[in-house]
Amino acid sequence: MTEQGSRATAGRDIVFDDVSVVYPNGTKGLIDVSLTIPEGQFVVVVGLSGAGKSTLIRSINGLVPVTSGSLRVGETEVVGVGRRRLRQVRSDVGMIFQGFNLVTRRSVMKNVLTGRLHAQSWWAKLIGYHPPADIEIAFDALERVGIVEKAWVRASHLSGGQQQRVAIARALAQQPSVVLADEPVASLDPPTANQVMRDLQRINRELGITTVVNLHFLDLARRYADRIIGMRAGRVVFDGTGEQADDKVFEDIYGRSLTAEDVSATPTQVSVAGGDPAP
Amino acid sequence: MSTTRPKAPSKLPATLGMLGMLALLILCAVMLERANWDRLPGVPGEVLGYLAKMAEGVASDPRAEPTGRGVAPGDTYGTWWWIAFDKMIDSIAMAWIGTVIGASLSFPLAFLAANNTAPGPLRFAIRGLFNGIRAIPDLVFAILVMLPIFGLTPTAGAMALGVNSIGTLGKLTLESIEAIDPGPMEAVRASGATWLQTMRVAVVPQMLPETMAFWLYRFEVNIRASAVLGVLGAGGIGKVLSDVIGHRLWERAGITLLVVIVVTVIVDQISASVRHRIIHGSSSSRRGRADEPEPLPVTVTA
Amino acid sequence: MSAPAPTRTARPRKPPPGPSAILGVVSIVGITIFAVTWINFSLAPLYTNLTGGWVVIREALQPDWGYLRWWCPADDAGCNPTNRIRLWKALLETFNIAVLASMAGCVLAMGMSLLASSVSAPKPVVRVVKVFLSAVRSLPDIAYALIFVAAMSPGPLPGVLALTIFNMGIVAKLTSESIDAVNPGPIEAADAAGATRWQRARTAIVPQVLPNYLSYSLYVFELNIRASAVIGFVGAGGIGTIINLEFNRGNYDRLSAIVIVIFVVVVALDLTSQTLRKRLV
Repeated sequence: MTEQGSRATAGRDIVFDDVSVVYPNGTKGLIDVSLTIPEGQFVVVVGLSGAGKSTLIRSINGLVPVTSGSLRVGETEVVGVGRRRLRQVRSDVGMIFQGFNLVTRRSVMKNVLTGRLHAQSWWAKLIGYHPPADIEIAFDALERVGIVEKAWVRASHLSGGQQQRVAIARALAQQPSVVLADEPVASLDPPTANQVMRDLQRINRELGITTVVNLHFLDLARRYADRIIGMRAGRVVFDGTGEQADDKVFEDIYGRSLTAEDVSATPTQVSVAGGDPAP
Repeated sequence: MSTTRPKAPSKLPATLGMLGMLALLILCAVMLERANWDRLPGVPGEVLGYLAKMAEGVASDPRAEPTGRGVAPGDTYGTWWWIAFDKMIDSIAMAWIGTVIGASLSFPLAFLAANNTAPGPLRFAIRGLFNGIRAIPDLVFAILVMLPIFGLTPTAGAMALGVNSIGTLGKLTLESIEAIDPGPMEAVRASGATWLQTMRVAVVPQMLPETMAFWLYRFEVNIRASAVLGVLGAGGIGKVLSDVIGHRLWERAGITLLVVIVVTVIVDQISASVRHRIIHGSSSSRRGRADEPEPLPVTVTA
Repeated sequence: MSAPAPTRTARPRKPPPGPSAILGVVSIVGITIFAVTWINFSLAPLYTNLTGGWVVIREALQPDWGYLRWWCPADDAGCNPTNRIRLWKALLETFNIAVLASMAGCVLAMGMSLLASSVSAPKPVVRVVKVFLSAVRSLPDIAYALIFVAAMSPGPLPGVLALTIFNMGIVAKLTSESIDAVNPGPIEAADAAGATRWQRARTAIVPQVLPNYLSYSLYVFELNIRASAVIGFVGAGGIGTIINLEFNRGNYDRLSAIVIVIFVVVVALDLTSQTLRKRLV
C-alpha cells in the first residue's frame, strides 16, 4: 500500500460552501452548511436521527444531490457535474455503511473487488475481469483489517464485525483519499464497535486518508475524533475538538438532557445495539 | 509485510457447468434435425415485414372494405374488429366458467386434503388427484374427455379448463389452509364445535382472501389457456386466430391480435387490482406473498 | 342469585356488510350468469351424449401399448421401422425444443428484466419495457406458434422461436420483480465506489437475483415440455404433431398411450427440476 502515501498531494481538502439539500418531498436535509475538512483529518459527525448527518456525508460523494451551494472534493466540484465526472469523484472516495451493504452471496474477495470497479478497462467491464494487480490490492486491503484468510469465504458466513471489516476493505481497495462512514458501528455490539473504530483510526493515521464518520454514541466520538461536528435540523451547531465537546455541548446538539443511551454503547446496551438510541 | 494469501477456490465446477450448458445447447440444436437453421437469420426481417402488414390492418379505416384473399362479401375492417372482440368475449366467458368450476370443486376438496383439517385418510387420495391433474396438459382433458361428450363447443373448453383448474387451485388452497394460525381452530374446537363449524368459523376466514386471489390469478391463466382450446375446436378467439393466421391474412391477424392483447391486459389489470384489494384491503397477508399469490402461471409446481 | 342483574344497555346494531362485499358477490354471480348464457354453457350433454362420449372414453381407457414399441415385432411383416420410431423422435424433439427455447428465452429475459426494473434502469425505459412485456405475456404460447409457423414453415424451428418469446415474457416479469426486491445496500455501495450502470448490474444486482432467475428458468423449462404438446398441434414440431395426427384419425387408444408417456416424462422432469430448484433458493 505504498502508492497510497505517494498519492497524497496537497489541496485534497473537502470544502462545503453554503451547501443546501432539499429532498424531492420538500424535506430540508442541509441548510447553508459551510465547512472545510482538511486533508487527513478524522472527523466525527454527531446529532439526532434526521439531523442531517447522513445527508452531509452522502452529499460529499453525490449519493444525495446538492440543491444549492458549492462542494469541492480536492480540486473537483461535486455539485451539478455529469455522471462520468461524479463517478470519478466517487472512485476517490470510499464509503462504509451501517448495514455493510455486501452482496452476501458472493465471496469476500468479490465484494472487495467492487472497490476496483472504477479501474476496470472497457473490455474488463464487459466480462467482469479483474487483473492480478487488482486482486493484490484487494488482498492488501483485507490485510489492513486483518481478515486475509477469509478472502474466498462467502460473505454471508461472516459475523457482523467481520462483514464490516470487509466493507472497510472494499472502501480501501478504491485507494481513496477520503473515506466516508455512515453509522459504521450502529449494527455492532460495543466491543466490535470499538474494534471497527480503531481500524478506521489506524487507517486514517497510517494512510493519511481523510475520514468522516457519522456516530450515535458520544463516547466513541470523543475517543476517536480529531474534530467533532454537531448537527441539528440540517445545520451545523457545533464544530470543535473532542475536549471542547462537553456534556453541555451535546445537550445543545441533542436539544435535551443526555441519557445513558446517548452517551455510550455500554454493555447494558448490548441487547439493543443496532437499535436507534435517539428518541 | 504481506502475509500468506489464501488460494482462490477452484473455478472448475463453474466452468464445467457453463461448458455443460453449452454442450447441451449445441447437442439439442444438432439433434433438432428437422429444423432449417439456415432460415434463422432471415426471421427478424420476415417477422418485421408481417408486423408491418398487421399494423396496416390495425391502422385501416374500420369502414373501408379490405381487398385481397379471404374477404367475405360485405366485410369491412370494422367487421373484423367486431368478430375479434365478440370471440374474445367467448374466450373470457369460457375462462370464467372454467375458473368457477375449478374453484367450487377444489375448495371443499382442499379441506379434505390439508394436513391440519383433513378428517380422514382420504387426504392422500385427494392430494394424488391434485398432483395427477396438474401433470396433464389441459389439452388432454379437452380432446380425450370433453370434446367427445360436449362436441366442438365452448362448453367443452370451459369443462376442460374447469377440471384442469382443480389441480392447481386445490394445491394452492390446501397450502393456504395449512399455513393458517392453529390457535383459533383449537379454541373453536375446545368450545365443542363440529368439524364443519370449525372450518366455517376458524379456518375459512383465515384463508379466504388468499384463496380468492388464487382464483383470480387462475382466471388470468385460463384466459390464455382458452385460446389454446379454441384452436382445438372449442371456439372462441383461438379458432379465429388459427383461421386468420393459418391463412396468412396478416391485416386481419393484426386486428385480432391487438384485440386479444388489449382485452387481456385490461382484464389482467382489473384482476390484479381486485387481488390487491382482497389481500391488502380486507385482511393483511400473513406471509410475504402479497398480491402475487402464485407468481408462476399455468403450473405443476409452486 | 343475590347479585343484581346489570342494567340492560342498548345493543349496538350489526353493521351491514360493506359495499365491496356486496359488489363482489353481485358481480361474481352476474358475470357467471352472463358467461353461461353467452356461450350457451350446458351440462345437458352429460346425460344426453354420455354414450357418444363413452365410446371414446372406453377406447382411451384401453391404451394401445403396442404403439409405444420402437422396434418391429418379429411376426409382423407389415411393420415399418421408421413409423415405429417416430413417436420417440417426436418426444426427443419436444425435449430439444424445450431446452433451446428456455435457454434462449432466459438469456433475453435477463436483459429485459434489468430494463424493466427501476432499480436498474431509468424510469422512461422501465415504463416502455413494462408495457412491452405485458403485451408479450398477454398472448398465449399458441398464438406465437401460429404466427411463426405461418411466417416460416411448419417444423420445430417456429416452435423454438414461439416458446422463446413466451418464456422471455414470463421470466422477464418474474426476474424484474425479484430485482425490484433486491437489497438496495450493495447497489448503493457500488454507486459509492464509482461503478457504471453496467458494473452495478453485474456486481450488485445480478448476483442477488441469480438463484431466483435460475429457478424461474427451470420452471419455464417444465412449462415448455407441456406447451410443446400444444404447439405441435399447429405444426410447430414436437410430440404435439403426433397427438394431432392420431386425434384427427380418431385413434383414442393410441392417444391415451401417448398421454401416459407424456405424463411420466412430465412428472420425472418436474421432480428433477424441483429438486434442483429447492437447492437453488
